Amino acid sequence: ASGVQDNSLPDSNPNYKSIFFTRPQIRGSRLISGEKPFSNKKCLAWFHEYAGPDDVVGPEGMEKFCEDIGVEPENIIMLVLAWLLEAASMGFFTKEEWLRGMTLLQCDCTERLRSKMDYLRCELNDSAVFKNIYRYAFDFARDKSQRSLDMDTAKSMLALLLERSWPLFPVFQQFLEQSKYKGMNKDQWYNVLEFSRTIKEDLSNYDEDGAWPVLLDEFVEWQKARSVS
Amino acid sequence: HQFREYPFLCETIMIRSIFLFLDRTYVLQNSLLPSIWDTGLELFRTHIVNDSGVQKRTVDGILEQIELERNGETVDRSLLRSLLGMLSDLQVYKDSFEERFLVETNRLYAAEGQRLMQERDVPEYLHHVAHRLEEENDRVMSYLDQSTQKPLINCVEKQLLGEHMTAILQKGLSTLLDENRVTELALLYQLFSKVKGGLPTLLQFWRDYIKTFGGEIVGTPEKDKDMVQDLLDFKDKMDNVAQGCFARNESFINAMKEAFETFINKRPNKPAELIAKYVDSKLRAGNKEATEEELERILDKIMIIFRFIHGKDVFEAFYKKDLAKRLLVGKSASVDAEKSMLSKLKHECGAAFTSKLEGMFKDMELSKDIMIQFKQYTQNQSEPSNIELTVNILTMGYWPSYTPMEVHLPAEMVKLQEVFKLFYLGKHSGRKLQWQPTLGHAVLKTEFKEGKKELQVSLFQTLVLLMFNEGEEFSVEEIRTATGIEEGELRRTLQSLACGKARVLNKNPRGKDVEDGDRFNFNNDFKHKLFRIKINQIQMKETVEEQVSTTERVFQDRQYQIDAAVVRIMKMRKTLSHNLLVSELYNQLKFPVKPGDLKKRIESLIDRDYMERDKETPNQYHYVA
Repeated sequence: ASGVQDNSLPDSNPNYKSIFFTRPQIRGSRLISGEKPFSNKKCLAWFHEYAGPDDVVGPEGMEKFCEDIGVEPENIIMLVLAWLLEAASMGFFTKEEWLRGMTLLQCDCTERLRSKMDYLRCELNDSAVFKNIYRYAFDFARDKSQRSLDMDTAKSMLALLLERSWPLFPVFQQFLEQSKYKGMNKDQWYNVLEFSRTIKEDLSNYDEDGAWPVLLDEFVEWQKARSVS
Repeated sequence: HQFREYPFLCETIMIRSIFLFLDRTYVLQNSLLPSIWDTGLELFRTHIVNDSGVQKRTVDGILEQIELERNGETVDRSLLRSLLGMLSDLQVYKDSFEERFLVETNRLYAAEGQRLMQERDVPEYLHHVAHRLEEENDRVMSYLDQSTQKPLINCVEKQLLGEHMTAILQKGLSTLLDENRVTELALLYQLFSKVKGGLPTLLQFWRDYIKTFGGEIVGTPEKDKDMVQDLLDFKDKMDNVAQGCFARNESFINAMKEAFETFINKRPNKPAELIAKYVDSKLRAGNKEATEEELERILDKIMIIFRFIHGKDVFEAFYKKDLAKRLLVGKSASVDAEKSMLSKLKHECGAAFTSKLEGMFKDMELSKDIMIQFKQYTQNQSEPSNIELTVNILTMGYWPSYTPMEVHLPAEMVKLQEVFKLFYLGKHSGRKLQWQPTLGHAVLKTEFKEGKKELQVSLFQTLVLLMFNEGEEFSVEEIRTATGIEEGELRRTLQSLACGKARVLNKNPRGKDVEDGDRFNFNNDFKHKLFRIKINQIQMKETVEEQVSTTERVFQDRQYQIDAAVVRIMKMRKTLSHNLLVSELYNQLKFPVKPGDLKKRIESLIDRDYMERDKETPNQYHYVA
């Protein structure tokens, strides 16, 4: 087998409408001519390298996996990967997630995945894709017995996602530190990204009468009061 | 020609008489020649009056005389009238006199306005202006030409009023209103109505005054106990001013209403609560200060104030609580007055507002019927009880919610309760009866050294007193164990029996407050001039708790109402922008609410999946079925 492989994607997940992020799409994943084609069998064996006899890669396997692909567990790349795999919970990859996601990525071994790292990093630059990853992060990081994200998790996830792109992030973090909020619900989480993208650093275009969640009203009020004094 | 008395005219008449024939034949037939009369006037005008020296001295003299008169001296008015009449007849009045006269007047009153605004207080000043206007009008009548009236009066009004409108109002309006100086207020209105922009300026200050004054009545918590009476008095006073002094001017009346509505809602909830309590104080028995008609009038006035209140649900909650007390303790002054108040509320707020209150009245009437039937029922029982029992059946939901309190009733009472329960459930199976000991009261027969007495007491007081049928002396702890009355309630109960006005128990040691370890015994030496004695339950701080919990219940209820309204609107519209949703909510909700509070409810509904935010347009919501 040789030549260019067709990289058309499987059809959209029929559950598409029930999930809040858009299914990942892989672009430019052409194989370089001469390389071996993707092997399901190899991919499965690769999975068991980390999962052992289980059907899920747990914390230990995950640690080893990160080491092997040369990425810190708290690197945002891991979030992108989890999103591509549609992993349901932080720190775990199930067999289904692994096989489906890695097939999509056309990766069946560590080397191949390492070669995709730049591509994964690039995904973050596309604002529509970033929004999906951001929204995905809420459910991904959430303790599944809770409706909201507890505040510590929320803060570290926000740091991971917005620290580089949002100048007001340190201020927002300070606000959260002193606020009485114990967690962040999905609506608040979604709107923080919206806020970071549309509201100017001096808050001059913030509309208090708009639909922003009260959390953000309070943030703006707090910051304005602070900058006056 | 009108006849004027000045010498030159007489001379001219004389000359015309001498040359009558010439004038009537030759001159009359020759149209080019002026008559003797006209010639005379013309010659007089040209050679005498229009002589600049003569004219100046004449006009100077006239103006001087007028100034003297304005300064209060008496002048020869007929001389002035003659001179000015002459100028008029010679058609030089306007050019030679009026122009200068108006300039002088203007200067005089500009200076006078400035000076007197400093020197005099406003009422004095107003009277002075009125007086000046009168004088100037009189001047026109007496010796000025009629055509001077308009510019003259305009000039006075402008310089004495128009220039000082704001200053007059700033300096004087609140004092006039504070001191209720109706004469000056009427004068003020009358004067201001003559000046351009006068009434709108007065209107603005009037509105501001009401807002400030009313804001103080409402916004001073130390004066809460007088708030409603103060509001009623203030409204009366302002009504009087609007009616009596401001000519029932529609805009003034509307401005007053608007101002009342603004200031009364500046402080949320409290005015509504106090109005409810005020009504209670009027409808409660023992209020002998008013006859039925007076009471009716007071209630009407209250309704006017009530109309301004935005959060009527707070009123309803407190009104209901007090109404319950009046009905259950039989303390209502008059059924007619109660019914009248109810119909006023219904008229004002609609049937939904009063349906629960009406339910309470219905319960009371049904209870009466039930008690008649119960009496017949007990008469046929084998062992008649020696206690007479009256029960009011209250439908849950109509009445305020009472926290049930478990107490230990004497066996006889328990038995009677069982009899009633059997009777009632026999008629209405499937219902659930819950006794409310906090609401009970009783009449106890007792005998002191002095003689037989009846004590009218609460159920808690009853339980305590009945213990002394069984023993001589009990400690607080023993009484608590025996009756099961909650700690705070028990202390108040004991206080009312041993430390109040009618001390039917002795406390040992003596003292105002009930302490742990205090002991109580029956006061056999108790004396009282009445046969039936009402011992008031001490009603203290508990009302603060009550007040807080009633208010909280209203707020809780408002949250449900907001949630329900949001869901109702979203269900109908399916998709709606934030701003439209909020404005619809403001249309539907009948109580004041901050936009932030609405948002919190919306967020909560999003969180609970009743609705969702549009994925791309964050200020757009979708209904989630």
